[in-house]
Amino acid sequence: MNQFEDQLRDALRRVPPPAGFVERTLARAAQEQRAPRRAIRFPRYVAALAASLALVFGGLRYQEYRQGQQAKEQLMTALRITGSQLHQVQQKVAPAGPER
Amino acid sequence: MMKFALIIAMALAVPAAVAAQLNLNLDHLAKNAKESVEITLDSTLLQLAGRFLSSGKADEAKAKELITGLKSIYVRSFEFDRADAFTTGDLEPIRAQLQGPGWNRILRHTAGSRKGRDQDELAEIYVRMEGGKSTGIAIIAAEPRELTIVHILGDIDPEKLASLSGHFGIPKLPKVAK
Repeated sequence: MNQFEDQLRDALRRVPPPAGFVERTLARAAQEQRAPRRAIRFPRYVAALAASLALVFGGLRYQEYRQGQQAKEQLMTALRITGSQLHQVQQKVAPAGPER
Repeated sequence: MMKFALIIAMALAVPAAVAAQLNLNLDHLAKNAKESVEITLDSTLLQLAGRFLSSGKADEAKAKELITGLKSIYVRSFEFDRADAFTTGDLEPIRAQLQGPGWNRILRHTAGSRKGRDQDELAEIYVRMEGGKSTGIAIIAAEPRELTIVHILGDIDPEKLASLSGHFGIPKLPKVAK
């Protein structure tokens, strides 16, 4: 039993750190804090270019949408007028009977 | 000399569609009109309009079907305050173009007659035929205070045009009594 206690005491014996251990540890920790982060950074002009392109494409899409809507409205008006004229001509030239 | 030959070659290469296109210059009437509608839709604009037509709406679906194969649509419509704002003479330049090759008048209707006017009402429909197919239509409709000219180029199915009635707020044509 005494032998076991001796082994245990021996294993748990306080061992002083090697000389300069604390200084080296603190120096390394400070160095890691100072090290720059590895972050992906785009140059400013790339961001500005992307924003400009987005603006141009957005503007073009909006312009196309407006032109399309305008063309659609004109088309519908044109067809309405055409249909209306054909209807009037048909009514004038052909005496109509009751719809069956 | 080369330039001249090039100009001649380009002139000969003018497509039939361009030759069929009417010059609808009625600016002098537009100035006197109370209301005027001027619509010019070329193939690019027709295609663009087609992309914005919804198949879910009856009128728009009909329009989408109708414009398939069309090259251009021109509409000039004027409403005047006075009954003497225009005469048939104003229409002569257009009617003269419709005497050109390919165009056939399929309908002419006139009614009424007053001093200084040939008639109070005039309706003419012309169709352009190429290779047994109708490739253009022109409608001239004049009333004392109204004038409308419609000019459509492209593959036109007259049946489809007739089916405009019942759509776009146009009443459905009653069946003709036999």
